[in-house]
Amino acid sequence: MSDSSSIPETRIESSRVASPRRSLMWLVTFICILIALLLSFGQFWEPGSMIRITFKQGHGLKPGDRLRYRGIDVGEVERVEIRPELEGIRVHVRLESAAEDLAREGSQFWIVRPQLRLNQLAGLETVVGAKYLAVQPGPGDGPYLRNFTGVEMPLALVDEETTQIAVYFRQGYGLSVGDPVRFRGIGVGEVVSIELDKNLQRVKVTARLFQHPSPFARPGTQYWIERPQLSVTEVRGLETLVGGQYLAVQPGVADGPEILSFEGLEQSPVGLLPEGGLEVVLEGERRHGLRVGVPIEYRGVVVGKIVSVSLAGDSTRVEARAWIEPAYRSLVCEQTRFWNQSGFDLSIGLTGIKLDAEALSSIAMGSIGMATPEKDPGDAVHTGFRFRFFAKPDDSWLKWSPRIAVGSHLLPEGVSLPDPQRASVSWQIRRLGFRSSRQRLGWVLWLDDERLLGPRELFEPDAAAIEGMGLEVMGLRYSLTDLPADQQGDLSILDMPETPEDIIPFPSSRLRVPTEPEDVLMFIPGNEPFPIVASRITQVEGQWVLAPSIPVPPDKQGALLIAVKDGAILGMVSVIEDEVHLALIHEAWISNSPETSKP
Amino acid sequence: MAELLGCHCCGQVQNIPRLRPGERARCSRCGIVIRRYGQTVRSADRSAAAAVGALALYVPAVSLPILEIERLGHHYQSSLITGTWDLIQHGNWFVGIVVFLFSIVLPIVKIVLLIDLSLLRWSPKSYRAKTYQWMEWAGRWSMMDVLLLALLVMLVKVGSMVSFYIGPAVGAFVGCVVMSLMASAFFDPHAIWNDDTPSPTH
Repeated sequence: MSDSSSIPETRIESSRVASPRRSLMWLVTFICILIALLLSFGQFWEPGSMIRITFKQGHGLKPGDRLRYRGIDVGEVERVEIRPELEGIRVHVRLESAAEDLAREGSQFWIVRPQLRLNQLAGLETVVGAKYLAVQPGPGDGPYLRNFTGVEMPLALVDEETTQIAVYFRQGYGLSVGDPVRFRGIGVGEVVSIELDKNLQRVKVTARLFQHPSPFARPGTQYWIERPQLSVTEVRGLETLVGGQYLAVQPGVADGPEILSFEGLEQSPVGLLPEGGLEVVLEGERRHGLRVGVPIEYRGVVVGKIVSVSLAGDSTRVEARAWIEPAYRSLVCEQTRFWNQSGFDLSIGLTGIKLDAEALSSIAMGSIGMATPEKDPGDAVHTGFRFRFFAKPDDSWLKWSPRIAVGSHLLPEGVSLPDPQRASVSWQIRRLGFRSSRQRLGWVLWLDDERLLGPRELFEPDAAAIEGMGLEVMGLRYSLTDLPADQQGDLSILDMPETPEDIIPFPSSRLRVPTEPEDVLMFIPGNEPFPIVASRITQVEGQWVLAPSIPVPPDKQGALLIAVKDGAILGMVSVIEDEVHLALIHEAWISNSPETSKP
Repeated sequence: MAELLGCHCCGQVQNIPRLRPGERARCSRCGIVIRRYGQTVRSADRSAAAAVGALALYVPAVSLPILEIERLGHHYQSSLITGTWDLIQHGNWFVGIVVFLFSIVLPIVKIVLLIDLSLLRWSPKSYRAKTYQWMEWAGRWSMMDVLLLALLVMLVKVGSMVSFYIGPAVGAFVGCVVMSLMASAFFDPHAIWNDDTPSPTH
């Protein structure tokens, strides 16, 4: 039993450390408690203010979703709750303090969600991602608000001030909020809201125009809902078939007072009729082929169309308003006949089947034929003149071929367009011992004093030409070297030995030398005359220089320059090495010309 | 009255007399300090301080958002508690309960027991012995530090796929882990039995 004596004693020594005090650890503990308190309260105290936005639809918005302005987070959804009356939801948003200005009167909030329409993809990031709120701030000087009403549809962010207009329709045709307002195919605004008016009679479409003041908020502006229209006479608004409807607009007077409320058209207006056309009335016993939009054809060329069809006031006959294009109004005389041209004429006889068909379009929709007699056509008619409408043409009418000058509606009335001819100059050169052909093409004008006006470059002799150069015009071939030429500037005039039979020579009295730039038409047969205003032309040392912004393709060699003022020929387009010049008539050619009959 | 004490370094059992203020005892064999005057009181005091600090930090660590995830505009933030709740709600009962037990319940049990042991010195020895056993057991299973590690791993691995932010709770969480580690390190189990240690106030 070895007792405690065998157990050693510890060594005792004195230490400098005096009595134990409260440990320094408590200081650390105090710091910990402080940190905990700071963190906890920091969670509940956040900078920024709360705003409440009321929506009809939540679209899956949930706490933690962001409020974005121009793609940047400026706030966070704290809470989404259903309003007590169950009539919508209220979203509580904490706005960052830097974005306080978004909480001013006039700000609009909406929930961004994917929009997948064929003509518009928007909010795609929200297809897989979270919804978010977007905001369009109001004017910066409004009072601060705490409660907002959200808009239902996302709107385009527009910096400029907008104009809000209301258009009333009888039918909405499926127009929806966010659809664009278009003019000439360009978006000029968008639909903000669509609602029925109080007595459910009309649809009120509110649209926002991206301009202020807007040219589309003037008297006379027409609004209609463009929608697909597929009738046999007309196919239009096809883009809306897959692309959704839009609100189309046609501006009225430019400088009227601003008005903000419009009556919408139920149908798109029948094309826009250029000024200067002729409107006559066709009266028939039956409707036959008279339909709105049906073309009126003269020798198969469309010269006008039917604008409206209705019963006469006493219902004894059908009346149609026919509109003739300004350029062709000279074709309509008192004795002009109008008849129904069905699409095709099928006759079966012993010899077989005979099918007369006009263009494909007229097979489907028919057309109105028109002819004017050679003898006693009567005077030119004026708007409102009444013609009888025939169900069938008389055979003799189809053989009428009066000579009537047809002008352009841009030219003064009664002035016809000239009739330039296509000319080619061809020759051969020897190159590396082989013959190779050269050719120049251009338009020339045959004058009534047996002269031929054309661009100098066209008639320019080539020194390398072997066996001379040939000029082909009107189916005739001349040797260029045989024709005495007079070159002035960029134009040439050739003395021709004869005048071909079937040509309408241009009276040389209608050549004129302009003293200063004036409005001209650049004309090539088969093309619509191209107007050039005087301000785009500068006169440099007797030459006209066209503003470079006006496109003139180099194949316009010889295009005529016709004065808008009086229909006189002022010159030609001359293309020299792909450079376009406006070459003017020389004075000498006019003084030479013998006095001839009036145009 | 002397007392037998085993050296915690070399295991030599030796007699140790009652120490007076300013004295300390060294092992007779290896010479390491095996007891100081007032040591148990001081360790209990320190341990209590660390445990209280851990308790204070535990509250924000568990309740404040610990991580914020942003993916494709979807914003998600969760604290330990809501995260666990989400796990259970989504049917991950097992994982949810494991995380809940080992990361939320057991750490707080450990901290509370530590405070109990180090502050409530008048309670009966048997009770304190039991408490100590529970505390040891809870400490073994409390996985707060492991969770912190998991969080870091996630931060590194997932950070490129989603926007991943750590919330304000992480600081508190780290503090809580450190403080509770310190509390258990300071704690001297001898304090449980050494009820004869003189009170520091005499």
